[in-house]
Amino acid sequence: MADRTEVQSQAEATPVRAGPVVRAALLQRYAAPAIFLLPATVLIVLFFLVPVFTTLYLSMTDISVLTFRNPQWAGLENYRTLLQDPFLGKIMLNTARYVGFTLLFNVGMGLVLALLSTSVPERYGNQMRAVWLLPRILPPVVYVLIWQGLSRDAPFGLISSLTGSERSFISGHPWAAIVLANGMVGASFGLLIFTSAIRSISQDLFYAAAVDGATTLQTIRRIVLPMLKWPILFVTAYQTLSLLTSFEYILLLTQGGPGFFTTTVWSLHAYNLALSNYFGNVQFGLGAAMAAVLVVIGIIVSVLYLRIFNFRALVAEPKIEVN
Amino acid sequence: MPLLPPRWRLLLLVLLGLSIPIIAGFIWLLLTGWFDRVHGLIPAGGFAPENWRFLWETVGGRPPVFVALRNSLIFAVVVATAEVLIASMAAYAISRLSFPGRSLYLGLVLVLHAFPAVSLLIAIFYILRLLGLFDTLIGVILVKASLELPLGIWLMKGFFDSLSWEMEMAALVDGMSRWTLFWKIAMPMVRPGLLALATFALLSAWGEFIIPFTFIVSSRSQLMSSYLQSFLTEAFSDFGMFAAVGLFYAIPVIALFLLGQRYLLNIYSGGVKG
Amino acid sequence: MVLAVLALVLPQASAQRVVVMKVWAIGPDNPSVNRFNNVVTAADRLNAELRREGAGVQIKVEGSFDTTGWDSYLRRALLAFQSGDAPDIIQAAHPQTATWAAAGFIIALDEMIPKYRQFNDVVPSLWDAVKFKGKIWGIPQDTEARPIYFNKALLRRLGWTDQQIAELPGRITRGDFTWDDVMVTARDAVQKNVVERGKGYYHRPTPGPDFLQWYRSHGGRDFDAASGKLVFTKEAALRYFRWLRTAVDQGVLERDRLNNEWPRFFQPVSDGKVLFFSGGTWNWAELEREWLNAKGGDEWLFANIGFAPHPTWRKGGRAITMSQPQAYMIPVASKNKDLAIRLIAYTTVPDLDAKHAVGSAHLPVLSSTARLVKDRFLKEVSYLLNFTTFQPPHANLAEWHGALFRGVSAVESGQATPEQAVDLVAAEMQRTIRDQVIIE
Repeated sequence: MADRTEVQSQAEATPVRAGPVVRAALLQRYAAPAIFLLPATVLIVLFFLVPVFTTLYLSMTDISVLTFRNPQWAGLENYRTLLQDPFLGKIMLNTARYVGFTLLFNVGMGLVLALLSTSVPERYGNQMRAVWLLPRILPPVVYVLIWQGLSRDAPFGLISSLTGSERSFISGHPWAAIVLANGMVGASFGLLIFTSAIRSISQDLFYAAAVDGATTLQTIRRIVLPMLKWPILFVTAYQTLSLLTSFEYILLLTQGGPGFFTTTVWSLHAYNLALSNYFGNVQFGLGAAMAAVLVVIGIIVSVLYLRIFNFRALVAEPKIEVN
Repeated sequence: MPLLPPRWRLLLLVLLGLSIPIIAGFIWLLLTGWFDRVHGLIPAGGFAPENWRFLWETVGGRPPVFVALRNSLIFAVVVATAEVLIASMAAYAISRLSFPGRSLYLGLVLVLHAFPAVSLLIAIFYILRLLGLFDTLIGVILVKASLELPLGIWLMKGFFDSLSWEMEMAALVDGMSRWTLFWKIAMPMVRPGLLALATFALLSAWGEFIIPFTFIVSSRSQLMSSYLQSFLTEAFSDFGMFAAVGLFYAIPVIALFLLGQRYLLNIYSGGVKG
Repeated sequence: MVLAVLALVLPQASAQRVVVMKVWAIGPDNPSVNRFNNVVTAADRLNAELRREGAGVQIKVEGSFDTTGWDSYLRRALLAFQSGDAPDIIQAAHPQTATWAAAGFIIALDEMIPKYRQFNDVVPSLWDAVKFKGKIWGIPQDTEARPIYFNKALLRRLGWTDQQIAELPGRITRGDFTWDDVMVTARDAVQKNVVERGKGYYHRPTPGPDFLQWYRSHGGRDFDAASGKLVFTKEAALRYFRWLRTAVDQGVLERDRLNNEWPRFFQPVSDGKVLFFSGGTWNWAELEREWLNAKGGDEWLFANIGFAPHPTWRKGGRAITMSQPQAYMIPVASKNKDLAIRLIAYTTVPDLDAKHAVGSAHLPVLSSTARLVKDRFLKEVSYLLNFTTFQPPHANLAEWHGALFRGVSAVESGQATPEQAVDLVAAEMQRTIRDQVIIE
C-alpha cells in the first residue's frame, strides 16, 4: 500500500510524460471518479440523453401500431399534420389556461399560507404547513380518489351538498377541479420555500419596524415581500416548466374530458396519441412530435434557469484537490 | 416573523379555514372506507367491513391485492436503495474529486433536475421495448431510479460539500483508497442526508403512478397505484370498496406522516443540516 | 395377473403432461365473466375426455378476465403479439379478426373447424362476422344487439297511452317512427319538464362501434364489397351530425355526453330520469345486477323500460341494429394450437352458451341454445337479430371509427358545425386510411 502512495505522489510531483508508469498513474487518477460516476452516468445516458434524441427521431417517422418494427422516415410530416389540426389551437389554449391558473393558485396560495403560518406561534404554523404537505406526499391515485369522492353527484358528494348542485363537481366544473386539485399539491412547494425565506429575514428588521410603529400589513409590504422577490420568481419559473409538461392529475381526474378535448393539454394529448387509444390505432410518431416540442422547450428553459439562478455558486471547486 | 401580530388568533382561524378541504378529504376517505354509504361527510349506511373484501377475495378479473402490494414494496425499496447508493457515489465524486468535465457534469445534473422528465415517457417506452425490459418490474425500477437521480445527486452533493475534510485528508495520507474512504468515513458522516433522500425516494416511488401505468401491462407485475386506478375506471362505482383500497394503499404514508411530521417538514423544506 | 394390469396402467397414469393454456378474455362488463369461466369449465370436461382417451395430457387454464376497458386490453394484446409472448386463446370483438389477421397475429381456422362437430351448430350468419379475405379467423363466442331503450313511465307522464307505448317498437321497425319523431318526443318531454335538460336522449360516453350503427341508420355506407374498401358517405354523415347538433341545441342531448365515465350514463338511467337511450342488450344485465338490485332488478326494468331496434331517418325505411359478436381467436405464437381449438370446441356447447347469454344478456351463438334459454328478456329481444348488421371486415376499420368519433365529438361539443365536422372526418379518414377508403 505504501508503495502505491509513493508512486502516486511521485506522479503528482513530476510533469506528465508518456510512459507506462505515468499511464498507470493516470489510470489511477481517473479510476476513482470513473467508478463512482459509472452507475449514475449509465442511467442518465440511457434514460435522459438517449430518450431526448429518440423523441426527436421518432417524431420524424411514421411509426404506429402496424409499422412498429419498420418505421419509415417521414421527415417533418408529423409536424405538418400537427399544424393542420384544427383543434391544435384549443389544446394550446387549454395548456395556457392550465398553466396560468394553476400557477396563480400555486404561487398565490403558497404566499398566503407562508405569510399566515409565520404569523402564528411556531407550533401551529408547523402543524398547518404539515397539513398542506399531505396532498404532495399522498399517492396521486389516492388523492384523486378523494377528489372524486368529494365531487360525486348529490347526495354522496360533499361539494354537491354544499353548493346545492346535483351534478358532480368534476363533470360540471372540470377546470375548477383541475386547477384546485393540482394547485393544492403545488402550493406546498411555494409554501416551504417562502417560509424558509421569511424565516431567514433578520430579526432586527422586524424589531425596528415594530419600534417605528408599523402595522402588520406595512411590515409585510415593506420588509417581507421585497425579500421574497427572488423566491417568488424562482417558484414561478420552476413551476411554469413543471406545469407545462405535467398531466398525471389531469389524466386521473378527467382524462382530458368531459366533452371534446375540454381539459386536454398539450402533454396529455401527446401521451394519448402515442400510448392510449380505444380503437388501437396509436399514432406514436405524432405523439412523439408533440412531445419533442416539449422536450426542446424543456431544454432551453432549464438551461436558462441555470443561468439566472446562480449556477456559479453551485459549481465551487471541491475542497480536496489531492487525488 | 419573530413578533406575532396582535390578532394572530384570527389569522390562525383563516389558516385553518383554508386547510379544511384537505382535512375534509381525509375524513371522507376514512368514513367511506368503513361505512356503507356516506352522504357528504355523514355515514348513511351501516358499518361495512365488506368494503375490505378485496383483502380476502379477488375482485373482477384482478390478481389478489397482495401481488400488487408485494410489487409496490419491492419497487419502492429497490428504487430507494438504488437511488441512495448511485446518487451518493456520483455526488461524492462531484463534490470531492477533481476530474475533467466536472463542471459540465454538474451542469448537466442541474439542467436535468429542472427538466421535465415526463416528456420523455414516449421515447422511454420505445427504448424499454427495444431492451426487452417492457412490462417488467426491473424496467420500471430502472426508469424511476434514473429519473430521480438528478434530485438525489444535487441533494447529496450539498451534504458532502458541507463535510469538513480533515478526517478524509488524514485517511488519504494514511493510504486509504478513495473507495474505502467513501464507505467507511464519508457515508456515515452524511447519514442524515441519506435518510432524507431515502425518505423522498420511498415516498415518491410508493405513490408513483404514470411510470408503471405506461410501462406495465401484465397483472402479475402490477403496482398498488395501477391496482387502485383500475377501480376508478369501472362502470359501476362501489366507492366504499374503492376508499378501503385507497386507505390500505395510503396506510404507510399516513403512518409516516403521523409519526414523523416534523421530520417530513424539515426534509421537504430542505433545511436538514446534520 | 394383477401386477401385469397395474404395469400397463401405471406408466400411462404417471406420464400425465400438464399443458398450461393461457386464455385472455374481456368484458369489460362484469356479468360477462363467463367468457373466461366457460373455458375453465370446458377444460375440466376436456380433461376428463383426455383421461378417457389415455392421451397422457391434462390442460390447466390460466389467464384473466379484464374488466377495465378495451383500451388497455387491446394495448396488452398488441404488445403480447409483438413480443411473441401471446396467449393460446384470446377473445376479442369480431372486427379484431380483420386487423389481427392482416397483421399476421392470428391463424386461420378453416382447416380445423370441420374436425369438431360442435361448430356445425353455430348460427350460419355469424360466420360472416369472422371472415376476412375469404378465410375464417375466429370462433363466434356470443352476439348481441344494440337497441334503443325508452322509459315507459316517462312516456306515460308525457301523455302517451299504454297502447301507444306498446305499439312503439312496431312503429319503429316499420319505419313509421323515425329519428325526427324521437327528436320531437324528446324535445316535448324537456319542454314539459318531464325530463331535465340533456336527458331526452343518452348514448355511450366512450368510443365504440355504435356510432357506425347510428351513421348507418341515417343512410350511410361504410363498405364496398366489390373493391373491399371502406366508404364514407358525406351526405349521410351530415344528416347524422345535424341531428346531433339539433339535439344539443334543443336541450335533448348533453353537450358533454361524450368523454366521461360510465356511471354518468348508468346512474340517471337507473334513476328513471332518461327518456331514450341507446345501448346494448348486455346493459340490461348490468342494470339489473349492479344498479337496480335495491329497486327490484328486472322487475323494475320490465315495468319501466322498453326496447326496439334503432329508428331510421326516413319514413318507411327499415329499422336497424348492430351486433358485435365476440370471437375466440388463436394467436400465431401459440404452441398449443390443436389443443386450443379443441378447447374452444368444448366451450362452444349449448349449456355454456346459455349460461353466458342469460348471465350477461348477450345472445347465444348456437341454434340449439334457444331451447335451453328461458330468460324472458332474451326471448323478447331476440327478434332484433332480424334487423342486425355487422361491422365491415377491413384492417383499417379502427381508423375509420376513430375519425367518425372525432367528428361526433366535435359536433356535440359545439367545436365544429355539422358541415365542418363532415369535412374533418373525411380529411382524417383520407389521412389515416389513404387509398383504402372511398369518400362519396
